[in-house]
Amino acid sequence: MLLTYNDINKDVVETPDVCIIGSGAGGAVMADVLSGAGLDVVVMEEGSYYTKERYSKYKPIESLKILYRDYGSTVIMGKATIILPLGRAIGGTTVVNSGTCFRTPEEVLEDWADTYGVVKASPKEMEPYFERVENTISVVTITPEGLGKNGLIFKRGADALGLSNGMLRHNMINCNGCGRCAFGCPHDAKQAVHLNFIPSAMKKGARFYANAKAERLVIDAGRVKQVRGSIVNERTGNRLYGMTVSPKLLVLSAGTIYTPYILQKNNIRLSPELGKNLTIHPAARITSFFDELIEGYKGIPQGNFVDAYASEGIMLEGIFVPPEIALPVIQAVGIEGKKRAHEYDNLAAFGVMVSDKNSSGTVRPGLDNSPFITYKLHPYDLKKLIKGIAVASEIFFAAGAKSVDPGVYGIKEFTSPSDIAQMFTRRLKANDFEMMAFHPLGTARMGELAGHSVVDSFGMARGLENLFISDGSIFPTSLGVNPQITIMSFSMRNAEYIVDNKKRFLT
Amino acid sequence: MKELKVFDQKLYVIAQAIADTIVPSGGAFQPGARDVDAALLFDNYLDQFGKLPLKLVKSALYMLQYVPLLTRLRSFTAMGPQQRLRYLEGWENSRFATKRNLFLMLKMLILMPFYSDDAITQAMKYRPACLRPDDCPYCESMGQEQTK
Repeated sequence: MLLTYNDINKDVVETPDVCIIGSGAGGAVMADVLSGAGLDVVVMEEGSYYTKERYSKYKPIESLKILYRDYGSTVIMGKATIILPLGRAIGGTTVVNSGTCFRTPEEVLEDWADTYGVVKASPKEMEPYFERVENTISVVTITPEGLGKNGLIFKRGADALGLSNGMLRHNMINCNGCGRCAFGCPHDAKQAVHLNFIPSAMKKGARFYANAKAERLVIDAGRVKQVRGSIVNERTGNRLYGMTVSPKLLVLSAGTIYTPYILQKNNIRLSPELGKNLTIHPAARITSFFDELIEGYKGIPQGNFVDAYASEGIMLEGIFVPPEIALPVIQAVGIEGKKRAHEYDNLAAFGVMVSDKNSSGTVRPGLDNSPFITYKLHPYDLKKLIKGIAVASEIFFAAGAKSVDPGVYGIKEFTSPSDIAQMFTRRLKANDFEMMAFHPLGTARMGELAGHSVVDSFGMARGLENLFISDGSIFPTSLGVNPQITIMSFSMRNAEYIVDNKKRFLT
Repeated sequence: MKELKVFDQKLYVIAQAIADTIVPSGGAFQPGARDVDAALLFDNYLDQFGKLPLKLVKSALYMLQYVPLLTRLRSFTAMGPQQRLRYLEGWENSRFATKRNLFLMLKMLILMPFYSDDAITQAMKYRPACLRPDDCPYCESMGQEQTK
């Protein structure tokens, strides 16, 4: 059962076995496994429920309003201002992500075991969970025909330079290549969790409430006794009815930013580490103009990658957005700006992401009833970003670009490969870059080292007997790759742990 | 006819002057900000903005309008077109990141609805399309050309 604010006309009172806050990659999988074990599950999701019929009618900028928090522009403050798009809908960020699927790199799992004492999460132990998740969300490897020219010319450039590259894996069935992954797939080709795990959980009896905002956690005798919240109007966000859930067990799956924020707002300090250790996988977008026609909006925007420098923490992955998102950031105004905008069909773009193992940030309650996020990019990670942008620029020139915009303050564009040397001769600072971030992790990190972790190896909160956390916040370090498979697989594993120990957690 | 939702008339006039400078009529494609009332599109796009970010947007508009009183002895709206252009280019290329970011925020919020407007996409001859246009219910439902 899925109820939205339209279906509700009085205060809601629920007394399930388990209440899950958040219906994204973590919450949806948790709901499916727990309801499959016969547990009574209620899911509270602040965002709305959208189907392809609804969001395919919206233009991309309207999708930013309805499917994202803060119009897709949640701000991270620090020496550099970084934009962090966060999904808000039934299905969470899986509805608006690029659909890229990576398993957790083996060296990352080994590092979590060695450095943070995470148990029973070795590559071999996680393998069955990866497989089950990938089967459920239909993960396939993209074929070159699905790329579109934006991806193909980047591949052409990488091949010319002899750089290792390949096709990404996506959760999708029969993709038409409309280029709209980040605005809700109009075909339901992208297999976001509202198309698999959530319907499966509902069949098993789980009840999903859209437009249900969790606000207050009532604690009594070391246990979460009640969740209080509101059913809100989809458009205005105004409270319509109250919602009170009294579960035996609470699972927080509100994401890396909102999970610690909800706890902090309720003065629940599980550990001094709560809200700290934020990693964001900083990213930059490099654009390039070609004489040839690109029409980058045709094809899968993030279909291929260059991993030649993955061992250094640098991944290059495809990116392309519609004109209303791409053109405003072109560095020019007036008639010159319009001239560049009119060359949109000749524009190519690719993204650089760096694993931020040395940098970190913090989430804390801010003004305006929203979290205040800060982040400091370490000089070592900045060097990786500089190198990644330089490599992407070289690839574009090798593919035949006439100019490259590296998205760096003070550099209008490169017109030849020799210009790229500026990236290394200038004293570039973090705030010289137009940075974005897509993969926040780490603010409630797991581990077995008391005092250094917020939850144990299975997501059980330290200090509260009946609270689990199951989303990206539990991962101790940056993955260096897109995290949805990792989040879903750990959620499945942790849900099974709860089921295996239900006498302990649910009595 | 759409109405102003978040700006008063004074802010609307400032927004209009800024939008008109960022995307004037003429050039590579004819319509500009004034032709589609980009200031009104900008205003309407902000209708679900949070209180704090909305304050920031309004403050940034006032800053762009009145800061030149200190250096050029006239407000932004009192400048001529070329002077306005040079002034905005100064914000876009400022060595101060905060100044650049404020301008980028305004530019994005003005241009996103502008480039989303049907009159502009038609003038730019942009029509979203996919790799399998003959079998695409989305393209069909959006009334888009099946091929570009």
